[in-house]
Amino acid sequence: MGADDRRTPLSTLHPHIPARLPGGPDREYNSSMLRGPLPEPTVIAAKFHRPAAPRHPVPRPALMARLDAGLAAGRPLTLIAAPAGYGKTTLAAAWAARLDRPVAWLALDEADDDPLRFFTYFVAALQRVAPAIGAELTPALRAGQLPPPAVLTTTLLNDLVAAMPIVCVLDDFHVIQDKAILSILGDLLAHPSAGLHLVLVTREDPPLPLARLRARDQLTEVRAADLRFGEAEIAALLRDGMGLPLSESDLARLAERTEGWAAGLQLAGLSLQGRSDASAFVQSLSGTHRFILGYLTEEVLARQPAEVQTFLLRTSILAQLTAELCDAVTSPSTPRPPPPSPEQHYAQERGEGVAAGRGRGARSVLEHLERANLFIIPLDDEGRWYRYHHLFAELLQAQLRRTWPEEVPGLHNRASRWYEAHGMPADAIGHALAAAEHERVVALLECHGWALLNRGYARTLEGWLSALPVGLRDRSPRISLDLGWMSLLRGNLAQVAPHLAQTEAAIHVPGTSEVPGTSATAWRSECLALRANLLQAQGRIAEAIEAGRQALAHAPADDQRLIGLASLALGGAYRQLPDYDRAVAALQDAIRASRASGDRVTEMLAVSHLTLMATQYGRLRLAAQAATEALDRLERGAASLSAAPAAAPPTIVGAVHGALGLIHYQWNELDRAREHLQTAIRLSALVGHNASLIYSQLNLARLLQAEGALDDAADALAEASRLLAAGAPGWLRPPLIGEQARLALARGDDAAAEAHLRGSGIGLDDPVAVHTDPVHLAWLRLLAGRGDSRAAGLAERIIRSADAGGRHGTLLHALLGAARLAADDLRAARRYLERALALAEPEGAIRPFLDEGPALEALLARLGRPAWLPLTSPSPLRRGGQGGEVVEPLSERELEVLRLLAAGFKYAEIADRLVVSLNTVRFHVKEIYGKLGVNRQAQAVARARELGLMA
Amino acid sequence: MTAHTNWPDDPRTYRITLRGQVDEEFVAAYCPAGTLLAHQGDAACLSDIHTDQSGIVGLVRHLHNLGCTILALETVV
Repeated sequence: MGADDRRTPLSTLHPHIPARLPGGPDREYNSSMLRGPLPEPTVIAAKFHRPAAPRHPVPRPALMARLDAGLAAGRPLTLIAAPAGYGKTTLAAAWAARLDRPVAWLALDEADDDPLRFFTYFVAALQRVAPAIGAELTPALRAGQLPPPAVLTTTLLNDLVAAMPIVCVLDDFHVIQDKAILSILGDLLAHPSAGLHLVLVTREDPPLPLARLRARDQLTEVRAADLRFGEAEIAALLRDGMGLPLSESDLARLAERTEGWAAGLQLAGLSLQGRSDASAFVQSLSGTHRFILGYLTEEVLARQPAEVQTFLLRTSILAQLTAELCDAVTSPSTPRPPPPSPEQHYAQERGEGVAAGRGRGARSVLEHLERANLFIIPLDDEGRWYRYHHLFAELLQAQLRRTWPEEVPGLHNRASRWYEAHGMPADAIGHALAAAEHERVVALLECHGWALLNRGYARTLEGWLSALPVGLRDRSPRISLDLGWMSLLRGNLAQVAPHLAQTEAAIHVPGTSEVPGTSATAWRSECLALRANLLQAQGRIAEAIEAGRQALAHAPADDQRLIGLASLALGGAYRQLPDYDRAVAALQDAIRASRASGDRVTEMLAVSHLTLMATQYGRLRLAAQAATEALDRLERGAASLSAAPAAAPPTIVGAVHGALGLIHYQWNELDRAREHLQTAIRLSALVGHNASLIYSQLNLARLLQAEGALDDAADALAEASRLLAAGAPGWLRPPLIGEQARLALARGDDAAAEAHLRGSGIGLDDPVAVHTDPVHLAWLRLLAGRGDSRAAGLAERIIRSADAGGRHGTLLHALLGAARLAADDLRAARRYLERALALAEPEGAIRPFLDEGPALEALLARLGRPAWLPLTSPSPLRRGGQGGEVVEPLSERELEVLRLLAAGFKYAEIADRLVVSLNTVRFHVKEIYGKLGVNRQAQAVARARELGLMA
Repeated sequence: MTAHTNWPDDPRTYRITLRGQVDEEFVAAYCPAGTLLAHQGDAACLSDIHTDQSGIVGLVRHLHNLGCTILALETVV
């Protein structure tokens, strides 16, 4: 799955609107995951914690000044690059502490080299200092969807511009190698005016265009040679900070031996503390740099009390330390004597640290380590979580493996169990792997795999799986199925079948790791449900229905999750068949069952199917009820803090808003319709879901046309066309063509309307079916307007087909068209009209009558209009670009902005070009619109050209 | 800062011989100023790369991630 992690999830086959509809569970599908929100709050908070300054910080005025200058010069990037142990993080933290602007801090680890995970944390880090940043991105990220890079970049840039300038420090950035992450960060850096100053703390240069940034003076660098301690700094560290009585020649010797390397100096200082022969020790140091480190570590370690030594070695396997975890890891066996050394004896005699270390549990040892400055770094302000300095941890681990190799698996095992018990499955799995407890890894993955996949661990999970012995990973139906559902949900259909095959093979393997309460029948049923959803998504309807039915037949009666998943596949398949009644029944089953099991994504997928289909079939009330109920539940879920986060993907929610927009339009509630459509467009754009976006743009175009804003309607249709060309399911073409023809007719451009219809490939005489309805209705409108004699026959054919298929929406439009055509034959007209009214009244459909225009209005007046049908005239024309002269001339700057807009530049690019802030550009644009009397960019450009303001 | 000049982490001049797609654009964006690119048969040579350990490690990993095969990495005195 490695490759598709980088894709926009759900992008290709989201269960949106008609045609290809997948389905799948989300994070809540496992009821055990409903217990609470993200279960790693403490460790997550630790990721955002800026390390506190050491008690005796070494002043580094020259470096501080360099960092200050970079910030003052508005350079977007500071790079602090040096090997481990050079004091990079300490420098960044000390600098950040004295800044007067907000600093976001994010400590990265290997698992963060995944775009979804990285940006979830990145946005969260920024939000801690500026809550509004990325607020729109959060729902998508929390639902496991990475917005398209362009949307992510633009949204962040816009939010950053609106916020105060921010400094963001990314510590341990060398773990980030993912191209998508780097490319987005590169884009952010390319817009220095956004006010984000990025500080990358890294062991190696990141693959960002540093040379280019250097050449443009947009980069501040602090490197190993700069970080190296000079003699003055060594004196500050060892003499002033640690109180060591060292001579100038001792300092020079230390500088030479450690090469000014902070970690080495720190260790040297620690091993010198309490020595009466400090000078002799320094002079005896031989070897250089890294070679000295191992020696010094042993020295320092040996000077610790036995219990502290034991503690350090045993806990060195932990990436983060908390007292409780350390107790769990170290307690089961009694302390063992470390390798004897005279220093140890000496230290114990002096009573140093012993009181802290002995018999008071891990908390006091940790506090002792912190006081002794033993390479332990607090990860929060409460003193709950710590970590060892990476270098120190590596050395301790090496020593642990040398000293007590047989203990290592047991330590990892205990760590794994503690993490599991504390709801941190990722760490539990990592330690189980380190303990080589493969069965346990499988069991943990079976329990938590889905939750982890949804939390952005996809790539990490792949890594875990590949670390398992072949055969073992293939023996777990649960893991294979989770991967299968994930592939389906992400639109990666080709990978579903292999996972299914693996699952099916695993079910037959004797000794398959059994998840309690899961029978082979239930596994088979879930395989069938997955297969049914896959077939449905592939448009293999008959097979999908067969698989779905079988899945239901084999599902245990109380397994609501499974029933929901199977019903969803059936509903989607029946919808495509199309069989309206069966589809509604199956989707209602799916909604009921998934609500019972708490599987919110299946619920929302079913709701979106039901809403969109019912809307298409003119069952507005049913659609609206399903949609509003689901949205209410989502809101309540989101409002209740104790509940699991509402994780329905925004794509699905966007589609539901799109349908609600159309429903309110039909009810002639145009303002509410507009609200829903705008929400739909925003949500769909956020996750780059073209189908949902096009669907909503089409509905918006119709709304704008009804309001008389024909230019705006044309813009919306142009946008829909562009999106369709960029890649979207083909079923969206007929409704687009239908709207294009409708708009052309509204403009009196008969020929254009006909050209659109002819280009559709759906001829006047082709059979009428659900997918041709929009085009056939448009043909009817065109012919009727021309008085073409073929119109009546076409109306009849549409009426017959829609009637037989239960497509009440189409039927209503066709009946109204037929009534208008029969205006001379009042009896026939009345027959059509009465039927239309009978269809429309229970659904409250008003707009179809209004959209037919004055001819129908006159007919209604003659035949008697029911009270429920108010015939308000269409909304007054909104101010478009037409007429009127520019009262106030555009300023030079405004003209410049306008020219750049016309040339296709984005706001941020214009800001960069004119060396102004993004807000200034926005201000200019607002002024331009005001002066030209327009409210869209395209209009502004057109108007300016009209007025001869620019070429 | 001390007067030392040849500590392991200090900048020095490197040369990388590799097989793979590297062009001037890459050099301009990602290599230290002054880096030269030459092609020799199907191999490419980046020379006069003046950087330190972090810089050279980052560059080598970047090339590796781009699918280049590193054939040789040398320091030039």
